[in-house]
Amino acid sequence: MEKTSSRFGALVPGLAVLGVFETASLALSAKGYDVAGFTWLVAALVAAFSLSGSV
Amino acid sequence: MLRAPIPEAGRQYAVLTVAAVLIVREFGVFKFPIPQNARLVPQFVTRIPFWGAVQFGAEMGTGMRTYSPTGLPHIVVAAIVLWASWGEAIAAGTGFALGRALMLLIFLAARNKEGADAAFEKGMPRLRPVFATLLAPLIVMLVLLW
Repeated sequence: MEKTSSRFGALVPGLAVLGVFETASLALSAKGYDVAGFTWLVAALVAAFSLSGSV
Repeated sequence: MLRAPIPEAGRQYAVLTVAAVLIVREFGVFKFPIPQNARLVPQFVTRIPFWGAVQFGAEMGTGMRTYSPTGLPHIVVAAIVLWASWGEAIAAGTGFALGRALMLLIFLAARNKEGADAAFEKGMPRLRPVFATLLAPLIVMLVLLW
């Protein structure tokens, strides 16, 4: 049976980057900052990285 | 021009509807094809000096000539067309470029290239609900808050 670490291990850095950006966007927004531009950037970042398995 | 005949509430509703349907699709609830080119970049571009690399990069980088395993970029496109300002569209373009580059950077940094390749091939499809869950609050914020 394939180990979870070998299946997802290489993806962890990408998921970490997405997590940091998303958390920053949500946290800054919750504090009342206008981070619309940054949030557009993060939304497109998530969408683009989700394409990573494509050929 | 596309926005002119549609009132603000209609555009808001349209973006949220597209997002809701495609996000639910990522969880496997619905199965329907999404608009895509579904063609591989032809091998001959690699034999064209300089412009071959440019063409390959543009077609792969934008995802315009590849198979799309997810509908999430379609949500962002709908949101940009119906809701974003020019500046926000540029920010989204920058984010998209970073997201596409991220895969290559991870692959380049990986010590085990075969393992990284397998992770992208086999792991990514299983993460579709995770990406949908990450995108959902962002789209709601973009359309309802600003």
